[in-house]
Amino acid sequence: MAAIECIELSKVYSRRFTALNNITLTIEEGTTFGLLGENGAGKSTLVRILMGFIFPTSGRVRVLGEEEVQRAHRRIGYVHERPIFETRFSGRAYLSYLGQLSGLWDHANRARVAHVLEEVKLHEAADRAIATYSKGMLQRLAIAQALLSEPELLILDEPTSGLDPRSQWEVRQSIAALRKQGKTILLCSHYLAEVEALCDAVGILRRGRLILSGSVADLLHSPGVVEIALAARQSAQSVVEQLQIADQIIETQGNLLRCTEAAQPAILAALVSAGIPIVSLNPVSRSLEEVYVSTTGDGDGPDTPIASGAARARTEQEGKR
Amino acid sequence: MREIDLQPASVASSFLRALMALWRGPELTVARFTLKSYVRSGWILGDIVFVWFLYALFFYEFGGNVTYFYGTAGQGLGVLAILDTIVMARRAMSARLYLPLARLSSRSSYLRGLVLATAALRIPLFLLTLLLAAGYHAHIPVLGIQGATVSNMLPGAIGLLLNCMILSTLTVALSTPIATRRIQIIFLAWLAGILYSNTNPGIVAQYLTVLRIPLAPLSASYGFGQGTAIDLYGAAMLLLAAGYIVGLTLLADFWLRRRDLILL
Repeated sequence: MAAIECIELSKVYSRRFTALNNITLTIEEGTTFGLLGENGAGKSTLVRILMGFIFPTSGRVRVLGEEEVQRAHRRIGYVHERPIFETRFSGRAYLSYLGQLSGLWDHANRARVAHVLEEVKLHEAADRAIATYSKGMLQRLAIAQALLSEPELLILDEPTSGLDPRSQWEVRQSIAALRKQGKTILLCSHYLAEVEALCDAVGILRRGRLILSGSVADLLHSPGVVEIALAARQSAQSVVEQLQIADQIIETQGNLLRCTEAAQPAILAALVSAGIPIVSLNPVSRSLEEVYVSTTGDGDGPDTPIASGAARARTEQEGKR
Repeated sequence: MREIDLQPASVASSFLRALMALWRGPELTVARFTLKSYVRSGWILGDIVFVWFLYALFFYEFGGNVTYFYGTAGQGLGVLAILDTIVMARRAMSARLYLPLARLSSRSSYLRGLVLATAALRIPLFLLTLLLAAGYHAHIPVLGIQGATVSNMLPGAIGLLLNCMILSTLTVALSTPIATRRIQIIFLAWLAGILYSNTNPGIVAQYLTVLRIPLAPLSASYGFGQGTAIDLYGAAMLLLAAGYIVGLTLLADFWLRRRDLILL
């Protein structure tokens, strides 16, 4: 079942500015979905629509089966893009208030608040005023409040933005733990490595359009390309020249040769017959950074949507227009 | 058919359960927290200083009667109702709103909570004004206000509190992001029309007196502090004034439900 469905979703703020342009996206239950995009790409607008804070200009959205998304609020944990708390209250007191709004009272409230504070390792600072918290602590408090009502879906808008490396690591650990619990997570982030490490599927927004979406595994795999590692001291370039196989090679780098799967048997045969030792042979995968850069290009090109074949998240923008 | 248990114990327990549900409802939870937050922010000290200033300015040397007390306190506390509601609404309608709102199934309960908080604050501030007037003029019988009796103080207190609550609810309804700029400007134009009709002679001003009609319940409520009895007309105006609070809350709710909330 889909946790989030957006169908031909658009948001136009003014005649000159379209924040979201005909987005169609499905995020299945139990998936950790990473939403990438530069500043102003439309990530926060999409999140605000999913939370019911703003309304789409056209198109439909369904969150946890509810078209009127506010009805699903008790089943959603939400982390805002920057920590926004009543700083004169202690972490425990503020969480207690939010718990009450979620229908948690008395012992249930106290127990749940203590549990989530422990989960994000804030229990020792729980009775201090929020004003005294560091940025990392504020972000962990934000995650704690999102977990209060044991949500089915977590919407995390840049949860590690502006944090030091240690705090980033701690927040990522919390997200990884939630992923293990099988929660559906929508993670908006600028950090490609973070999304690559934490997410099952990813979508890239650019100028309000979803230009790419698919499973991380599919996107990182370069179909039909293999990498042959030669002995460490062997220069791949000189081997290519020696065996005169340059026309079959995609690229060389140090002791590495890259070629198509089709050319692989001939190249291996040439290497073996020349007595050149081979250390390993692997299918090539790309980093999410490479995928992101190749998809978004130089920043001025056309925003053509690309959908990975095995993707659960789909882009169907152009065809449905 | 289901039998209804009318035993006193059962009725009492049902009543208590209903009270508990009300107390734990999102509206009262938001109202309590909004008030706590306002107190902790220190703005409440500003309110107390304002009341003290009001007392020092108008009541310190006064040996005034009930009419003077309500005439002066009504205007001062009215201004205070507008000022501290602006502060409270600005605090409550900032980006902090997102987290409570992310838990509620509608924006209405948050808005009603805010209206309740701003209205509830009128009561202690009125009591403080009364206490100051009473405390410093204790030599004057009954509350330090000449000619004061419970029966002639009560209608004025009801009228004053209702007027202040109308003003605070109106301020919430006209605050950003609830009201659009166009609505705020229309309201200001209405206010300007009323002032013009009050202060200028001529045919235009005469026609503009029609704009004063909606003020009738406020005027009647003010009159209870000036010795006007609560007769049938007064009671109707009181009901209408209470209806204004409900109506303004519903109107604000209608506006807020349709607004994109992009808060900083």
